Formats: sequence, C-alpha cells, structure tokens
Amino acid sequence: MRLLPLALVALAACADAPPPATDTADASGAEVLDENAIAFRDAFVRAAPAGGTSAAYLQIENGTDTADTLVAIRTDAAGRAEVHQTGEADGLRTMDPVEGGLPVGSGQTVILEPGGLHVMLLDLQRDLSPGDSLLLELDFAGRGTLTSRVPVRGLGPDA
Amino acid sequence: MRLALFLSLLVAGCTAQPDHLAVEDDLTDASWALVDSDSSAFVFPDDLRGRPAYVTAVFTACPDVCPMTMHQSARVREALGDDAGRVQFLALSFDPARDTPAVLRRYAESWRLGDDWRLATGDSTTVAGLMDRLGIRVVRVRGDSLEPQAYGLSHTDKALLLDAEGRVVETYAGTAAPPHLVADDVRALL
Repeated sequence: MRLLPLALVALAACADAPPPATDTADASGAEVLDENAIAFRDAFVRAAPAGGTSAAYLQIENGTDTADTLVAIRTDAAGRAEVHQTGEADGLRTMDPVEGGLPVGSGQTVILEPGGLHVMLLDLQRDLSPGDSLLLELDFAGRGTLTSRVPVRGLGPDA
Repeated sequence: MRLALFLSLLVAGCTAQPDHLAVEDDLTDASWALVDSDSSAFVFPDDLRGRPAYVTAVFTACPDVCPMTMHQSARVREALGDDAGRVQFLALSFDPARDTPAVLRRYAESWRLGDDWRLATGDSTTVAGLMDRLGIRVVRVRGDSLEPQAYGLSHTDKALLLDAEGRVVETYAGTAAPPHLVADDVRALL
C-alpha cells in the first residue's frame, strides 16, 4: 500500500490546508459521481472478455477528519469484486486478497495501481472493451456507499 | 588477400551483435508442439525462425501482473515503430487447463492485439516442459474461498528475446522491460 508521506499530511494539517478537492471528473476522465470528502482519481479498468477477470485501479483520497475503511466493492460488470495485493516472493509474482477491509486514514490517499493494490474483478458479466466504462460501488464503513464510473483501457498510449 | 581479410572483418564488425546479446540458450535442440488462438498447430521455436521474437508468458485469468506484461509488450511494439513488422510477438499461456484456444482468442480480441501478435498454449506436460526450459516457474496457489475449484498462479516475471534462429539472446522482466532498450536490442538483430 502506498500512502502519502505522513509528514506531508502533518504539514497540511498545520497549514490548515483544505482537504483534497472532490472534483466531478478527474484527469483520466473517470467521473466521480458523489460529491463527498472521499474522492476517487485516475480510475481505469483493464480490457477483458466476458467470463474472464480484470482489475480496476484508482486513487482513494480521504479528505475527511476521520479514518474510514473500504469494506466492499460491487459492480454489475462482474460477479465479484475484491481488493487484492500483488507482491513478490521467492522470485515469483504473487497475489493475495486484502482481508478485513482497506483502511483509508484521515488525510491519506491510498493508491491502487498496476503491480500493487487493485480491485480484482471476477466472473466478468460482459466484455470490457476500450472506450466502455463500468460503475463501481464502494462501501465505506463510515461514509456508506460511494460510486465511481471507471473507463476501460486497452493497450493504447493511455493505458 | 589483406584487402579481402580487411573487408570481411569490416563486414563482420558492422553486423556483429552486441556482446550482451550473446546466445544464452539455443532452444533449437528441442521443439514443443503448441496450438495458437486460431487452433492452428504451432511448433516452438521452429515456427518462429526467420525473424526475431519477443516472447512473454501469461495466463488470462491473471488480472494485474499479466496485463502489465501485455501492456509493456505493446510499448515495445510502439518503440519499434516501422520495425515492429519485422519482429514476432508471442505470448505463451502457462495455464492450459483454462486457456483454451477460444479463450486466448477472446483475450486477444479484448486487447485488440492484431494479427501480428500470437498467443499459444499446449497440453499441460508440454507447457510445463517449455516453461521449465525458459526458466519460468509457475506455482499453483490457494483455491478461491468462494469457488474452491478456482486457483491462482504465482509465476516468474520474464520476457525473452529470441534471435531469428530461435535462440534466447536476452531476458527481461516482463512487466518492466524498458521499451526503448528492448527495441534497440531487437534492432541489433535485424
């Protein structure tokens, strides 16, 4: 898990800096549908055929003054969605589910990115083709359910 | 006589491969009967001979690492520019139980790989033998908690560059091969 350095978070708090903006769209074009102090950025999902598996990636920014935990994820595009962590052990690339939810501390950004944390999408219900999108529903223990529309990327320059 | 020797050395010097592209493993002492995503027979490495090949190993149920490998291969292809057509791209599946030719074909279609990118697999014994020869370890791991029959695969992160004779001349991390470095290596083989 990559977190923003705590020192930066502390400095921001000392300067009474405003929490991260909750834009309605991010640089990747992923729309953030809920204007909450938990924001999603740079979201995308890999192309994959129906019946297969894929992974979604995004940054979760918690601009609130309370810690929260991502406890479940759903999408109608997949039978199941789980947070997994890619790692390396004994010279092998490995992957394990993240048990017990994904903590997102106050003022922290948790980055889900290729080769690290990701949302594993199992039993895809339809083809995920470049240019399409899917809707992720993210359940937080404190804030409830937030949603993010996530674009599908192929192997193009933006992937 | 001296002029001829000089010219032959000059020509050899112009066409010599960089030292780091020395043959690491001559695969041509064996062959593996595979099948590609069109269900056509494909013999590795025999059917690759004639052009250099950039070879990766993946499985389609892999959501994170293998797409990174595919993505990095696409970057290599981009870095090659017009030379990409002089190179073969091959992704070998080490999950033959699930990656049938039809599954590989749908996978290729979802990525819009194009005809110049071949995906192949084979029977489990053949694939295991090939992976062993290529130095790619594959370890079956836990069953899925909700679907006990499901499984994951931990695996070596490796890509290989084969010369036009089917010999391994360089290896890279499949997910992190620097595209322009690989492209330079490939061009040195053309």
